[in-house]
Amino acid sequence: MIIIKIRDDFTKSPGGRLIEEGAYSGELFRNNILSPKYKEALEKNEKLIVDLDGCYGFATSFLEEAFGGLCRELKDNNILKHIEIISEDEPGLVEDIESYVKKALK
Amino acid sequence: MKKIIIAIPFIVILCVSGLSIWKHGWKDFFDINIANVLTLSTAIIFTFLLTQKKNEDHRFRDSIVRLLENLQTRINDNLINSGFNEESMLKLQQEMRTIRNAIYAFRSVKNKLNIATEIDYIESQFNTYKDVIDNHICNYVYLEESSIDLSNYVALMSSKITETIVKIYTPE
Repeated sequence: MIIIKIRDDFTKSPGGRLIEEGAYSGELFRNNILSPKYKEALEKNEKLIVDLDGCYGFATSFLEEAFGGLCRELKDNNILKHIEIISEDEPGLVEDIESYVKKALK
Repeated sequence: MKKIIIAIPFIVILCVSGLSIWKHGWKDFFDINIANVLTLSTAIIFTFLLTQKKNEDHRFRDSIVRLLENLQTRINDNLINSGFNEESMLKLQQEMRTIRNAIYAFRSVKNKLNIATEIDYIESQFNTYKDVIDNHICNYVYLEESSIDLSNYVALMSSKITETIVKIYTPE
């Protein structure tokens, strides 16, 4: 099992969608953390756990760019078969991410 | 006050029983057939259960209304439409998370209270507000320019909450 805890591995205050828009964007998170860890999990045939708790809050644009962007990057919208999202702070985010992933390749 | 309300029926029953015993004597007072006992017991139990159910329903509605009032205060006081900067955005993100969680919590009771349309509307207005913030999270100039739209979403949410509270207390 590979774990990404955004608060510890990235930031407590995630930003917007793109790198050019400001610090700690969804694009930066995808490029530097989510995508490499996802590929590592696939290679090792392990589950990737993404823990969203402990941050100040997530912009929809950050999450869409991170998870929807990963689908577009890999041209695969089955990524959630290998990813488990943890969000006790805001349970609705799990539903949101599922919807971004479904819509990413449409 | 609550104890007095409970005590009054007992005192009345005791007085009536006492009067009855005094007038007819012990033997006649307890001279009652099983059918009468059953009828009386059924009526008392039925009335008691009905009252309990009604009280529970009232308490449930009261607690939902209190939560809606808290939500309305949070929306009015904390969903800002100006003064955007790094610090206020961090606070706003935390507030939006709390408000969203609260709105989600109402999903489980909205059908029971027949307020599904109102909760869906509040959720939709909140999502629109959140989308504007989220999509321009670092663009404070754009957010300041969207001030009137943002305050409009807040006003719409607030007035719909008032409407929902009135609906909850309106007899069907």
